[in-house]
Amino acid sequence: MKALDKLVLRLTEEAEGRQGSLFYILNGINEELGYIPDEAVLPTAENLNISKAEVYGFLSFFRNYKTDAAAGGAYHKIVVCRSESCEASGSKQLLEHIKISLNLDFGKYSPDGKYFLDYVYCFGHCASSPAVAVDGILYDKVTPEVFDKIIKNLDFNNLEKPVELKSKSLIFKRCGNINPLSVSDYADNGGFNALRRVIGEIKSKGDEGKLLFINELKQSKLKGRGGAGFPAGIKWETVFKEKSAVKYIICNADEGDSGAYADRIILENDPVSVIEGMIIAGLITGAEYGCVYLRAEYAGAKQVIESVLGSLKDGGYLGNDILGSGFKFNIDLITGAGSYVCGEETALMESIENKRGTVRQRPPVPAVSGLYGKPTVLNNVLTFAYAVYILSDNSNLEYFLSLGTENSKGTMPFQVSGAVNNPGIFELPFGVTLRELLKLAGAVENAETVQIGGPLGAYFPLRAEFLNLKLSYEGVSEKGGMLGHGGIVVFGQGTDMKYRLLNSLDFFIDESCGKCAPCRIGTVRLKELFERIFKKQNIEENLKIIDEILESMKYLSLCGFGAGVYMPVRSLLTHYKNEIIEV
Amino acid sequence: MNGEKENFTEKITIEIDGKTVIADKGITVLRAARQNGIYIPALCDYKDLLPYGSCRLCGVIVEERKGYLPACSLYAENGMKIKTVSDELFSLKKTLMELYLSDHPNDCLTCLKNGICELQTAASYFGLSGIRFRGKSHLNLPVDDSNPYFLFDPKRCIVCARCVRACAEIQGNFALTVAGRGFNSAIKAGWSKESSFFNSECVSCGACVKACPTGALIEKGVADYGKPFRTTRTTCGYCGVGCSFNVETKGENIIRAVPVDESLSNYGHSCIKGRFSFGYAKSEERLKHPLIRENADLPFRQVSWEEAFAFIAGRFKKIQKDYGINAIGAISSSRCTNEENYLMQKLVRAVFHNNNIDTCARVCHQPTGYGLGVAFGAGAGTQDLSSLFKSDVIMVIGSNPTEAHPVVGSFIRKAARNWADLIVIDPRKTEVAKSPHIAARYHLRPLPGTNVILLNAMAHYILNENLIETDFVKTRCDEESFRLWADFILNESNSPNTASKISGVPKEDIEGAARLYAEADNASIFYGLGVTEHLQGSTGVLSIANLAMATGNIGRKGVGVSPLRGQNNVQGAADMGAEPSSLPGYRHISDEKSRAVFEKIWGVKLEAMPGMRLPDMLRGGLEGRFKGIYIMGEDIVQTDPDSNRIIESLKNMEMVVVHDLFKTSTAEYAHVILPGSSFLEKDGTFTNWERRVQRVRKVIDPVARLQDWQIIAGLSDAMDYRMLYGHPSEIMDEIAQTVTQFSGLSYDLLDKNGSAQWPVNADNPNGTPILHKDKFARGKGRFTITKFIGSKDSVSEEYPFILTTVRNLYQYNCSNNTRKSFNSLWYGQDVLEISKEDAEKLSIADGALVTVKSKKGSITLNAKISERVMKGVTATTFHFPEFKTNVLTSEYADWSTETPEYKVTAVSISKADVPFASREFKPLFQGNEEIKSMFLDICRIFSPYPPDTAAEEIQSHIDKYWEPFLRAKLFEIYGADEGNFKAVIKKVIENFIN
Repeated sequence: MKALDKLVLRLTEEAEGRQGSLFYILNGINEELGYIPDEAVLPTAENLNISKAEVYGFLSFFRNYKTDAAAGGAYHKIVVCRSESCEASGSKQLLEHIKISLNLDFGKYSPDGKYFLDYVYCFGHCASSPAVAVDGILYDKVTPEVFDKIIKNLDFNNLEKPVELKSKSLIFKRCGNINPLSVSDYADNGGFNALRRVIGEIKSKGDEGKLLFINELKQSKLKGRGGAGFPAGIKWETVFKEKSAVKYIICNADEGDSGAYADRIILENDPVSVIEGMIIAGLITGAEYGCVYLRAEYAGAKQVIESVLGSLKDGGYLGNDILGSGFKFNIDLITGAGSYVCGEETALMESIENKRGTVRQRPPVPAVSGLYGKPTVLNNVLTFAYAVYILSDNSNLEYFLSLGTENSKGTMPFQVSGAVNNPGIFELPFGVTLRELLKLAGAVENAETVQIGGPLGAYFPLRAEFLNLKLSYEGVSEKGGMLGHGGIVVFGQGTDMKYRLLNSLDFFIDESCGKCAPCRIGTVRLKELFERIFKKQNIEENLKIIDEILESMKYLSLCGFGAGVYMPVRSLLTHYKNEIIEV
Repeated sequence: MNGEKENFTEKITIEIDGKTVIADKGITVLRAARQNGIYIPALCDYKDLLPYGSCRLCGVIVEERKGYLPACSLYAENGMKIKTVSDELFSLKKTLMELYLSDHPNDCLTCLKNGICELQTAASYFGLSGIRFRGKSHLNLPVDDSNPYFLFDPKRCIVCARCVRACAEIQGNFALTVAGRGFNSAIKAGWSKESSFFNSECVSCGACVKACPTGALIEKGVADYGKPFRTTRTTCGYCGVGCSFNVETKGENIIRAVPVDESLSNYGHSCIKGRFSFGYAKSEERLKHPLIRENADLPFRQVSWEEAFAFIAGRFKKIQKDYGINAIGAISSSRCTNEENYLMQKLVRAVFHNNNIDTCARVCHQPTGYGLGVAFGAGAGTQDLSSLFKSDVIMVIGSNPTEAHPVVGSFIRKAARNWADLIVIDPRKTEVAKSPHIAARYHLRPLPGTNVILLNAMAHYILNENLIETDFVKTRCDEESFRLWADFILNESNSPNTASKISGVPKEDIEGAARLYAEADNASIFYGLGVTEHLQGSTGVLSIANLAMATGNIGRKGVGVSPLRGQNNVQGAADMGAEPSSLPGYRHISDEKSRAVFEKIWGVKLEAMPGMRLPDMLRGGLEGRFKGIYIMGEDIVQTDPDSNRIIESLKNMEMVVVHDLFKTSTAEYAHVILPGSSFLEKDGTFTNWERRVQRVRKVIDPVARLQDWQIIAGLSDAMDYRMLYGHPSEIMDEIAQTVTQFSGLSYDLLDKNGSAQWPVNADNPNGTPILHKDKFARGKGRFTITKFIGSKDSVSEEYPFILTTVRNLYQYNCSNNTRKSFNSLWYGQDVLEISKEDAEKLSIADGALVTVKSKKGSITLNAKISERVMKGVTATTFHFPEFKTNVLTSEYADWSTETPEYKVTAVSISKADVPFASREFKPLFQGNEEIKSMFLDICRIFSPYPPDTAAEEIQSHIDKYWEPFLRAKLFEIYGADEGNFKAVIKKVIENFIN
């Protein structure tokens, strides 16, 4: 048997019974060879009993998979982050330096063939931007000088790890104080209270017990922390009520927003709390299987989760008889392969099902028909952690409700990066003003702009009107923005807003899944139209067309990504029209 | 092609743009609007596909709901109030349309889809007067015209993925995908940057082409001839599925064939053969004039029809004068219409004055007619295609539907993907056993020739485990027959243990499959030539019937026994009495009353003794007592077993008339060749596997002026018997007048309803989708003892492999039609499939030339190492005349119907240097041995019955089906006479019992 066939066979055997088997196999091949040869398609398809075209469609969808043999050659691969927070921290200059000094461009080799330049949108190291990976090793706070040192000496270690967690109140409490890999450490520090409570109540009261927790969750008004803010209790209730022998729990750890890294921090420092949340979600809704869907860029978190899943299984917290209760719950870890849209719940499920990560038409909603058409709870990492906090004991619910605003209860880990002196995560009650938060984060004196809620969030100039906005779902929304996953990137004076806009449009073009026409074509046309405006061609008419396209995308796109292009572009046009149009 | 279709009977009322409309419950707002003639622009929605929601053009405003909801995935609810348009919505969509067109050529007038393009229609809805912006585009991407039948032009593609979804959801092939993402998303056939439609897994079913809303995927016929302006609905002339097509033409040019959505035989789906492989009709190689020659050594000369008819008539009459009335006969054709088959048997019975009429069903599904006739009282499938949509378990036995009956294959795979469990019994790996997203719960792989013991063992387990549907058996079946059968089945010789040893199938699988089938709420059986083309073919069919009755899986929607007929009109040819022992409508020739019906109308006296079957005729030819044959639409030299014997026999005859489209292998031995008409050139009807009678309508003029029915009538006239029909509808009227199952059938009814499943009579004026509903056609269902007798040809040191003949998707039977199309680009020669283990053992490389040798002769083929066959078993097709596969197959045949054992031939395999095929006839039997052997097989089969019953059955069987000469010969061998025949039989069976 050929070596490749052997490799595929081994990976297939390992993937047997796992969800996301195609990711598992292709990621394995990619790790081994650095690319996916055409010849890998046939055995992969055969072993999974899917078609070759499906495998090809899948692998051609994801950024991390290359089919070019040269991609696996011996050279140094430099990957630069092009996202907002890195840009706000000097990645533009860094990039220019790299391109000139090594004679490189994106997707190209240096003339001597020694280097290859690629980019990502966010490593999740926003608090220590800009970030660059060389040969898979991630470097933080990379200035042109630091970069030269790295290239000279690849063992170079630039800086000690920055402290990313700045204030903690509810779910981040344990972070930094326990050994994240130790299940007993977790247990000794208030862990598993929720799980024991849930098991006890369900054992004694059955479905009534389950409803008890669903009601507590509903009372807490806990909103999904992934960005959309859908009430978690209602989602769990829907799945609980669905009559289906098979149900699923999915933890969405595909934290793709630039400027957001709270998921990564909690997964690396207190992973068991998230897993406990998934287990109780399973017990309450009647699901016996769950998976953590982790983005490919989080290699550190991957190791941690793999390790604790093993320990939890060994400790009887996972498996076919959880803590002797007779209840069953198992979890797989799935690692993606580079797609922002796969953070969207239906695209995420499609990709677990070995299909291209494109968005599904709704209805039906995933709580009714999710993974493999079965009722599915899909929540963000933080949501599970909050659920565990709330359900751990009665007093927590009360305390949770006492924090925050009318419509946004509890706390939120606000993640600040960019032009600030004290970047990091601030877990604070909802309702804190932007001004207060920026003070805590030590915004630089000439900080001029923030973008709240990731690449699809709005830009706000730091005027009083916006500095006073209350950071809550409704507070940001009132100002025409969205809180999203709580990432806040600060831009200093002198930020090139044209570059910002184009870079942002590049992100939309790169990450559009391409299923729906408004987003597929609209993103490309927007960039072209802006480029024409920059060349002073038919400015007024082109602006009018841009306006039409933005509206069309906002109302007609299939998912929030296409619709979401509206907000950043529109806010830039509103607040920075003069800079962008240069009339 | 939704199985749910028939549930859509409940109606709801909704309001669209202020207009109250009635819609089927359970459909989307978009489809409700379309049903009512209201246009909502939409490009990704397609009637046979699940909602997808990618084009974003179908948004509507729903009262009391926020935003714009896509009508394609919004299900209509009673009382819903919908507005399809507002100023804002119109403007949003208009911009979106402009986005679409900004990446689309501006050349509607020179686009092949001009006038029939959905994008064009949608664009016109918005009244766009120009495109204000363009930019990056797909306009320079190369056209993929690798497929000979259609092309893919990516610049016209809007990535709605209807093609990808059609390939997946309708055809179940998953050969297409969207590759890349974002703006770079593009439709791709295959699995690499370099792959194309031609070298991908695409099977050219045409579903993608049909589903494409723009000019991106389009038939090359449209490129050659432009948009069609005339459409004729007709029925496909290839396999027994009987797909309905709209054949679109311009003048005498056939532009394309598009499957008919309303058709209940194919629900708008098709395969490469029906959809694209019609080019043979216009082939230069078509015969255009009658050809005659005095004897086989002379060259042919072209003559007029009149001269040809006169020549044949003269010779046939002379032969009958010289050698007796029984010295001539005819082979009718399952490729021809019901009307032509009716005329053919009429010609033989009324003009030749004998019953020497047979069809190619003799070599394929005759055991079905026999077996289902015996068990149920009607030799036909019991259900319709839509019944499959209600089956929880589908058992496919000896059938490779995705290649031989592709449209049914697609439906089976769809059922398996969505709701049904599959059991597959086949030695070979087929796509219903395993293909993307399909894996049979049980794939039993018996050694060829061991179906019967396997099915008996399943019955054994079902009886033992008390999984019998007792009520059904008690009320619907003949109790005595059940008791005898149950006693027989429960013998250890039929246990899963024994069967496992004989068939090689693990005992657990036999039991698991039996349980799955028996416990299903609704289970259907589909079977094919893998059951019938055996020495035990009839027993195989009977054991299937037994299983279905024992588990109550007969007589309602979702259950049944369905023979997948090989040729388009196998069912019809049998229905029409193109058989030596039965008159039209399956009435035995010995029945005086039945004969009287025809004698009255035909004005002749009919012979009461059964006529010669095709093998009898060939035997008669060899023996010099059968001298003249008229063969219509069958290439027996290529397709029937033991080619050298057939050639020998034909050479011995004084008049061989071959009536066909092309100069076939058989025509080489003809004295007269009559140019036939293809199904595109004539009127008539075909009857498919569901008993569905459908119209065949003339699309173009016959190449040689006459339609086949006119040719038969012309010959009859020349033999002084007038057949005065002005149109095939008049023949159908005569059929309705004489055959009870067809008494209500007429062309008017077919034109009105599209099709009708027989019986069509006063009780069932629109036909009968499900047979045996309240009672069996014969009254009580009859169980038959199904004793397993092994194949005569078995592996030995000299011939260590079993060869089984199979089919390939791209070629059809003798391939005289498909070979004249582009299909040979995919499959251009017969190859020998051999397992990797066997190939290694023999040191045979993939593609190497090998000699395949059986007791009958030897041929050479290129080997193909394949995982489809198991160790010890090899397979090949017989599609190509040059490879002469049937030199290898033998005269061994089914004990009851003489259907040949194509599926089991012991062979040896060795490396070869030069292509070769032996042309020497080597009989396996000498003297009377063959007759003796035929008789002994029948005795062996019935031997488990009590001796009196057995003797009764055996005698009746021989009386019913054996021609007088054969019967007389048998009497001679055993010294029997009418008086002591039973006693002789009893003595013979004693040997089997002891």
